[in-house]
Amino acid sequence: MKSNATTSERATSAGDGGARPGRGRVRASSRPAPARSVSLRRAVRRNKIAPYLFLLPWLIGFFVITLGPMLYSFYLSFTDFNLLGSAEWVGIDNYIELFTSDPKYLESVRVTLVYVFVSVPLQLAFALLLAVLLNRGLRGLAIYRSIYYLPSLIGASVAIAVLWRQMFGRNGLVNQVLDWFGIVGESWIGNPDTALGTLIILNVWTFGSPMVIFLAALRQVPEYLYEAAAVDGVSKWRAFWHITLPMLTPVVLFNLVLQLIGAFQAFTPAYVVSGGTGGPVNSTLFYTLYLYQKGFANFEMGYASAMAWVLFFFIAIVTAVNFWLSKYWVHYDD
Amino acid sequence: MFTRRKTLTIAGVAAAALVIGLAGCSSEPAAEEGPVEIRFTWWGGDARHELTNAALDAFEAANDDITVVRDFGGFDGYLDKITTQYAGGNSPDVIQLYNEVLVEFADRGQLYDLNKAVDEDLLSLEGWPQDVVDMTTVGGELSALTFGSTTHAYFFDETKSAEFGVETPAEGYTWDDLGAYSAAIAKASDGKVWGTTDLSHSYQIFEVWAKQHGEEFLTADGIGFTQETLESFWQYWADLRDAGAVPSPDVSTEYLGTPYDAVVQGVVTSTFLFTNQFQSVADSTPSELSISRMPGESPDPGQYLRSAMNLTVSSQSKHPEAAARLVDFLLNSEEANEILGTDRGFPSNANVFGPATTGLEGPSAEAADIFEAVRADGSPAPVPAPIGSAAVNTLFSEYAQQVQFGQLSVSEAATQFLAAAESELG
Repeated sequence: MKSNATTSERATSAGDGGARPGRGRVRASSRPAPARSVSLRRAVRRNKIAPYLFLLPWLIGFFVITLGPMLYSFYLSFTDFNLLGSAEWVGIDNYIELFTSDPKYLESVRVTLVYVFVSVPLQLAFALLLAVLLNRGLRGLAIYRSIYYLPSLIGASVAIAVLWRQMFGRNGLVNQVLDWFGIVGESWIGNPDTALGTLIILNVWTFGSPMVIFLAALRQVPEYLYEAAAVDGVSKWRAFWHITLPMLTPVVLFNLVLQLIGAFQAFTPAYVVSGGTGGPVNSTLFYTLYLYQKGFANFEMGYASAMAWVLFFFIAIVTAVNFWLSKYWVHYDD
Repeated sequence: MFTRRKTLTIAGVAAAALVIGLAGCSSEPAAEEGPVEIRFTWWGGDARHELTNAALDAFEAANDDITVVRDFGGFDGYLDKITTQYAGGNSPDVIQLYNEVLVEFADRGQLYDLNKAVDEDLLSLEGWPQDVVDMTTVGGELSALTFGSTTHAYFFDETKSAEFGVETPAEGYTWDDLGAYSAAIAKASDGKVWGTTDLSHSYQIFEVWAKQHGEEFLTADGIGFTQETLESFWQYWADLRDAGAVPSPDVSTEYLGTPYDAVVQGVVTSTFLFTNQFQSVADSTPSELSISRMPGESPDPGQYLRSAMNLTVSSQSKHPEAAARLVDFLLNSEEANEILGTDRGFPSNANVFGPATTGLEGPSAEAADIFEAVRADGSPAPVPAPIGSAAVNTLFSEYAQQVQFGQLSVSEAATQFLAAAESELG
């Protein structure tokens, strides 16, 4: 990093002598009134500018593709905008309508909350369980780790959602297996009582990325704690509850926050499995799916923007609450 | 920082697309000399892409001052793409658009009035029946022209029916005949296969039902049917479900969008489709299929010649003249229609019906017979549905599903649907 910065500094001073008008002006004025250019050159020398030059590609992306559109969508959330015409200012009407006269919206909130608060804890528990098992010095650990991580890489993709549709359909793999035991299964994705369940299983199945983080954290637990426990005759089970788990709590918090945020924004599985409808009978109507329907199928982009901002603030609040609660259960060793 | 960035990203997702679109429009070249470039977008399968590209090649060969950029794909996400491009001021010049959203676009001034092209002799309406032209006239402007028309049809898997020893209903059959046939198949197969799919969620089927009862699904003013008629429709399917004559709702849900897949996959032995789909469905199953009109077509027919899709020119087009020439070529030239055939449906221009349908055989020819039968004895086509109709179509399916799954009774669902639909249509 440091050598890079020096190179860029040199390049900059070499450029000073060139025909670049901006620099030339700074330089020309430097003799009579040195204050500004001296501070600029000092800044360059102190490596205060070089980092930003390196960050520039990301910064451009952030301002042009993320922040700009975000602010625009914030403006749109106060308008009636049908995508084809021009946006008309309606104040907070969209927000009022969301909470007072759109039962389908409240249904989508309910579905999303069930999805998030059932699938995330299950997923984390599963990830932790596998991490503990894999941490026992298995032969070929790297291979198992890769295999278990795979679903995380592809889990949110359309291909997997299509696969899910096949597996949990009436003639899918799940029912074929059940058939061996003489059980005639229904279509799991076609039944409003079970459709959301299949999506929860899909999310739990992508336990790989929290698992890898748990695995790394398990390696950090000091061995002497276990040795001391062994000397005291503590069972493995108790050692897990009283040593491993407390030492892991910072990572649990990290995974929890990350997975919660991801789950609130889940879209692809519901879109593909329900064919974009959120059905059967709105049982898989995720928040983002309804947002998408409002924006792109019903031409209500202002309303959809308002939904996006409500979600944004809701996730922010949930995350803040998580951090606040963490002081009661997260154990920092240092 | 990381989590925050992620959160921010999703919150801006909707608007991000818009701004990218805006960025795209500034880079459009101002081509004053050389060939004019226009963009044509359509949806379809591989066969349609091949035919359409061939027709566009022929157009370019005949018009060397125009280049057509081809923008094509499947139906999934088609409308999203176009509306986003519109919002960015970067819409295609010529757009294949479906009926349900035609008025949404036209009413908001997003479509070029093709009457102007007719006045300038760029586009001919020779051979076009007036009622077909009226179907795509919105607020006095010619917003679109039909790009292939089609009609409903019911088709039967003859091979499977024979296996189960059940005779398929003869032409002139009633809805009750269909129900009896379906129940017989279910009985003969021990409930493993059914005679037909549960179509209670389909507004397209209800539209035919309403017309057979002398009513309409939607008129220019809104709801065109009585609650009684809707209840009779939903009750008909409820009775079939109770009798085990149609698949259970969870199975039906899997085939919501593509009921004919249920026949191809051997779940049922008959269902409805549109005549232009029959050839490809017949190609995808080894069974022998037969095609007939909808049930209950006498004494009062409910079927009509419906526009399968439309050709429109965007009001954002910088080259509406070139775009109109392309529309004229695709709809009115014998050359184009010989190439395009009946993949999108039958041409509305009587003068090119011959070139498009010569050499039809097998399933395509049988489908053409159904189309001709409806042309001879059918119901008049409905006027363009009002704004909000797309939402009403979705509501129809949602309430029907709540009946299927036993969450609402037929009359509760009908009452609630009517109230919700009326508020959508405002």
